[in-house]
Order: sequence, then structure tokens, then C-alpha cells
Amino acid sequence: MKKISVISALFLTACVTINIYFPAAATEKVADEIIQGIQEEASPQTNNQTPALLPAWQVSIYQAIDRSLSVFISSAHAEANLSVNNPEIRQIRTRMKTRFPSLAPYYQSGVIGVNANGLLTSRGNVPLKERNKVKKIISAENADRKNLYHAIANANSHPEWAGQIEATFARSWIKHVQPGWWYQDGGTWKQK
Amino acid sequence: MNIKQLILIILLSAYLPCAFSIDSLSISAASIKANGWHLSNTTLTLSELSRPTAKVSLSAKKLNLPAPLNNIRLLNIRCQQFSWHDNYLNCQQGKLQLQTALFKKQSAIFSLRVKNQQAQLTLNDLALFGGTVSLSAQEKNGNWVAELKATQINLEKIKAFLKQKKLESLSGNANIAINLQGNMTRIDQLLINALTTQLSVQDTQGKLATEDVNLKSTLSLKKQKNGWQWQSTQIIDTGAIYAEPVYLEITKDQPIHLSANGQLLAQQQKIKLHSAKLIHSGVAMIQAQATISYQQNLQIQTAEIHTKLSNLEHFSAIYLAPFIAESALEGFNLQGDLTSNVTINNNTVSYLTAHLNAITINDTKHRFQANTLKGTVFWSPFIDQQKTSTLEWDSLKVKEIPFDAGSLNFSITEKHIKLLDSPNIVLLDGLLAIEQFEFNSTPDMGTSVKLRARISDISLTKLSNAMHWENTLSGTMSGYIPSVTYKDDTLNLNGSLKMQLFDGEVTINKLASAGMFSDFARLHTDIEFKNLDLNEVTKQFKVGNIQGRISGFMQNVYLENWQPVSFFAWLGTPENDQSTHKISHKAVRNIASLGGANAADIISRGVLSWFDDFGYEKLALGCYLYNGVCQMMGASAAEKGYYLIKGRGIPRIDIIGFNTKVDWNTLVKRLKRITTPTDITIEPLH
Repeated sequence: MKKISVISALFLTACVTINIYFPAAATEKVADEIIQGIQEEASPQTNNQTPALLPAWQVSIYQAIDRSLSVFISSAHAEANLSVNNPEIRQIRTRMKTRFPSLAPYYQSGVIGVNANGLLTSRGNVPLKERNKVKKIISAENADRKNLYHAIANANSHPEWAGQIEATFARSWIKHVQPGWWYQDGGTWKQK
Repeated sequence: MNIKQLILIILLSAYLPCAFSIDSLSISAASIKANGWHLSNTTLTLSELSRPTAKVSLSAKKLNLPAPLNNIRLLNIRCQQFSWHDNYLNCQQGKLQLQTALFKKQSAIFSLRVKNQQAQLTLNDLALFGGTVSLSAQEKNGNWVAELKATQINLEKIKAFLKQKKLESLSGNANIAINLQGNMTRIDQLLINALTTQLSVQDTQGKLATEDVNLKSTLSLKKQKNGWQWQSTQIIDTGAIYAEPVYLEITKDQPIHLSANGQLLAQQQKIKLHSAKLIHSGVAMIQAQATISYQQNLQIQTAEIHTKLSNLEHFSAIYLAPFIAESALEGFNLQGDLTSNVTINNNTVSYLTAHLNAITINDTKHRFQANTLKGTVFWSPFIDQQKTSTLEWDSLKVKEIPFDAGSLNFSITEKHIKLLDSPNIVLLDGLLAIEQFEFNSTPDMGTSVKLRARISDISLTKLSNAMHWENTLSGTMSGYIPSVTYKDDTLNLNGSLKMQLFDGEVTINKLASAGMFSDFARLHTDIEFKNLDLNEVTKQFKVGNIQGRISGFMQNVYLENWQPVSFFAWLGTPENDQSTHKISHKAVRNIASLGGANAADIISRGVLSWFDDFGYEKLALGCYLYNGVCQMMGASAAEKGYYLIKGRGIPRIDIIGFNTKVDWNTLVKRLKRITTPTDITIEPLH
């Protein structure tokens, strides 16, 4: 009877609650990849798989270790992988990539800059002739950036992550500002 | 002081020089009045009394003017020449300071003459807003005329004066002439002429801006029994205007001219626009008549608008392109000319008629093209007012697919389009017969499309050429489309498209597409292949001759930007196929190259190289594509692999594939290599 109780206790401890925390590191890596993909010249493969952060065999080993540990630890903290490969996300990325060549001259001339939220802002002095185009392109790009963050959050079944994804992307957009472009740092505009 | 007292003083003063040698004399008076013109705190000075004609000058603290100028305060009056008696007052070579509720004190040269019931006042050299202002006013029996001229007015100073918060900047110069006529406090007529040069405006929202605009304006208002009659012209001949989203560069060759006249009926709170005409030279002309009420909100009670767009190329570049920028329609442009008539009742368009004349529609993204589009389009929101619209064209192109000349009769009302006949449109040597087309859009039901059509004998050779496919197909395509539905931005084709291809049949089912004309087109479909003649197929694709038949399917095909993302496909020898089964040496090598290099080497170097062709029992190739990887299949399972070709007879040759997973892009590269007539390179698949 005593033996049964001990086994029962072991089973009880084996009930695991896994709390999925926002995968900050994975998001940062994904943000870098997406932004690089948008800013590079070749168009992305439509059926590109997001490369795994670790080789498959390492992932398998870590998963096995995780499973083993979870038997002994009643509650585990886990960081989820970030899925960014569905038609909606690919569509937004394609749009942003197609738009980038139109944005590039405005980045370079300083007409637009990346603000602290990772969104585009007109820095004024837009020639009248360009004003409508600049307004619309900024509006379309910013809408797509926000849509992208929501789409990634939804694709990972965590709509509540959208804000954190946006914040992570904001840092990454600024990190990928190219020489000559303008960005906001501490409320002031700086040229890289 | 009255005139008699003044005369007495003057007479006395005539004797005084003899007694006291006085050369000048000053007399103070509380006020001098003449016909509503009132000088207060005055001092009259008689100087040069020793001369035969002494000079009389006047200084006064203040001159009050009669209505309607009674808000203007004229201060510190100095008159070098002054004369005055009953109902007579004359001040020449005067100087004064002008002050109103709006302005600070300004100095000016002035003259004033009041005689009986007539008065004349001139003010010159009044320095205002960086320019000079002069005023000339005449009054007789209560009727008055005033002329105000302002030259070189700096608009930047006007902005500072107006403290206008909606304007971020305003600059330029203006010359303004205003002519006013009236009686007592009533204004009967107003005429304004203004020439504004280098006008640059910027509103705070960035929605309206101008750069170096030259604007010539006139406005005349004439009081009538029941309101005002007005007339206005505006001409802009240089400069640039941004009125979101439109940007205009105006040159002397293509000025903008706006003229309008009408009545302002104050009691009825209405504006009657008898005629308005806007001409953008060489681009557009708009004429309108309207009755507009401003009782509560601005409401167009009735309006007739006639538009003539004589140069659609310029019009679409200036006025259309900004509206479609960054939208799905970006890239579309028009040529030709168009006239239209629009009727508006109570803020709602009641009728629209548009006459299209030899219009060309082009798309820089090559999605659509129409040449020599002609016809008349009637539009009305009222179903009982529907009229037949017609459109005809010399040629159309949708993506790369050309349509021959054709025409359509249809009716169009608010969010409803219906084809009124069943047109046959020649397409790629075949026919597109549209039996029914209806488009409806309602807030409750959303957008719905009803389409029933038949295509027959479409030439696949012409289709291949139009689509610039590497391999030209032969055969024809026919099909019946019982219905098309459109929902959630997705077009679904219900029914089948059947193609007579390679002596067999290819059937396309469950075709659905989203974003066909966007940068991210998506397409879903199922395709069935039935009894295709492999001899014909291999001739076409130069893979090496194979004789026999082939059937199969592609299920759940999903394309993004016309690139396969996923599908399940299998093509192979049909069951109980009685046809000759032969495969050439070249074809064996090619197929072997899909599965590995070793087999191909054996064929090339061994005894088998003596044979031109081989018999086979069956052949097949299958792929389940997912995540960029093709899960390969063949005719049947083999030990550790699958048969791509299962041989028969002597010499018997089996081709077995061992790589069950193949990268899709690599497979496509190799399929392309073996279907082109170049030398074959065999590489192992990984």
C-alpha cells in the first residue's frame, strides 16, 4: 500500500504545466531574417521554410531532454518556436518586398525615416510632386508592418504577442537601417 | 463755433497786423461738423497774415466719419490748407493717423472735401502688410462709392495678422483693387480685382499646398431685391498645386480657368449657380449649373454637370493616377477622349451618361489592355430608369491572353451590372460564349457574381505562344462554366474546363483564385489527365520518344505567384492499356536521370546501349509536394524504392527510384533540362 502511495505521488509530480513564454530570441532572429529578405534584391521563395534555429538532430535531443526533465519538474517554462510560414505572412512579405524598391530612394534622400516604433514617418520637406506617393507608400508600408505582426502572432496562436512582436521588430528595423538613412533615437532624428 | 464767429475772427485778424505785427493766429474749437463728418479738438491756425492771402491750416485730434466708415478712427489730423463754413469743409495736403479695431496706428496723406450733401475723402500712402494702400471715397446724399487699392501686399504679413492656425505658411504678393458702392450703411455693389503672384500656401494638415502660383481673380457682387448677383473668374497660369491627392503643375500653355456666375439668395439660403466653367487647357473642361442650399448643411438640390475630357492621357496622369496610387489599380492609364453628363438631385447622382471615344486602356503591369474602346454607358441608381449601355472594342488583352474585337450590351445601376445579351467573343481561334453575367453588391449580402459561359476550341498552340511557354502545346480547349462565385476576394469556378490535349483529355476542376491581379496571386485547382498519347507528349517536350498512354491527376494544387506550393500528383500508364509500350534510349536516360546517375551510366556504356528502344509494362511518376520537398512515387513499389519504369520483353529494363524525397526546386531544374533539346547532364538527386 505504501509502495502504491509513493508511485501515486510520483505520478502526481509528473503532471506538468508548461507555460509558453514569448520567444524573444526567436522573434528577434525571425525579424532579422524577414527584414533582410525584404531589403535584399532577390524575391523570396514562396515555399521557403523558415530555417530551423538549430539542426534537427539537436532539436530532437533537446526535446527528449525536455520530456525527461518534465517528469521530475512539476512546472516548466518553455519558449515557443515562432512560425512565420503561412500564406498570409508570405503575402504580406511579398507586398513589402515589392514595395521596397519604391521606398529606397525616399530612405536615402531622408524624406522618410524609421521612428522609434519601427514605423515609417515623413520627415517633412517632401516635394509637392512626391507628396501623395510618399503619404500613400508610408501608409501602406506601416499598415503591412502592423498586419505582419498580427499575422505572426495569430499564426502562433498567441494574438496577445502582437505588441511584443512589434517591439522586437521595431528594434530590428532600426538595426537594419542602412548608411544614409534616418532613424529616431531618443526622440531625435539621426542619420546612419 | 459757427461760420459767423469765424468770419468775425478773420475780419479782426485783418486789422491786427497793423497794430501788433502778428504773423499767425491760432484758434481752438471743440469740434467742426459738416454732414456727418465731425472734427473734434480742433485748432485752426492762420499763418502768413502779413501776406495778401493768409494760409489757414487745421489740426484736430480726431475725425469721425459717417457710416459705413464710422468704425475707422482718423487721428492727429493736420491740414496744410483748410477752409470751412456752413456745410462746407475742405482739407487739402493733409496728414493723419488711421486706426481701426484691426490695425495699429498708420500714417497717411489725406484730403477731405465736404460741400453741402457731397463729400470726398482720399487716403494715400497708407503702409500696410508690407505694401501701400490708398482709399478714395465719395459720398452724395447718402450714396457713396469707395475705391481701395492695395499694392505689393506681403501675404506672409497677412497670415501673421490673421493669426490663421489652419495655415502653416503663406507667402506671395498681392495687388488688390476693391470698388464698393452703397447707400448709408448698405453695400450695393462690390468689385474685386486681385493679382496674386508667387503664392505659396501650406496648410497644417499637409493636404493643401501651392508653390509659386500666379492667380488672377475677379469677383463682382451686385445687390438685388432678393439677394446678390455674383460673377467670378479665376485664372492660374503658373505654379504648382497639391490638393490631396492631386498634384498639378500649371504652365502658361495649359492654364486653369474658372468662371462662374449666379445668385446668392440670402433669404432662401440658396446659391444659384447659373453657369460654372472650369477649363484645364488641353486636359478637361467641366460646365455646370446647380442650385445649392446652405440652410443646414451644404446640399446640392439640383445640378447638371457636363464634362469633356479631350486628352485622357493627361487627365489620367494628373487626376486619376493619384487616386489609384498604391491600390490594385495602380499602373492603369487611359488614352482617347470621353464626354459625360451627370445629373444630381438632393446630393445624389441620378443619372450619368458617358460617351467613350476610341479609348485605350493600358496597364504598366501588363494585367489588362483594351484598344479602341467605344460606346455609351448609362448609369442610374433607379431600376426603372435603366437604359442599355454598349461597349465595343477592337482588341482586349487579359494578362497575356488576347481577345478579338467584340461588343457587350449591358445595364448598370447602383452596384448592379447585368449583361443583356449573350455575346460570342473570339478568343485564341476559339470562342467564349457568355450566357449570363450579373454582378451584385449589397451591404447585407456582400458581392456576388453570376457567370455562365462556354469556351470552345481554344487553340492551345496560341495559348502557349501568348503565355510565352517554353513548350508549345497543340490541341484545343473547351469547357462549360456553369457558375462562378466571388466571395472573400476569392473567385471560384464551379464546373469543369475540359481540354482536348495530346489525343486525350485534361479536365480542370475546382478552380479558385485569389488576388489574380495582385502581387501575390493564389490559385487552387484539381487537374485530371485522361489517356494522353505519350508519343505526342514526348514529341512536344523533347524528352525522348515514349509510346503508350498516360493518365493521372494533380490534386489539391496550390500555387502562389504561379509557383507550386503543394499538390499531390501521379501520372502513369492506365490500367488495361492496350497501346504499344515502347520507350527510346534517350527517354530511358532522361527518366533515369531523375532517379540517379548510375542507371543512366549503365545504359550508356553497357550492352543496352546497342538498343534504340525498349518495351515496358508500365511507367509512372508521382509527387506529393509539401514544404518544398517532393515525396516521390512510381508505378509500383520496388525493393528499397519504386519503379519509374517497369520493363517488359527482352532486353528488359527497369528504372527504380531510390530517393523518396527530392527537393522540388532541384527536380524542376532537372525536368527543365530533360525537356529541352540540349545535351543531357545527369546528376544524382539528393
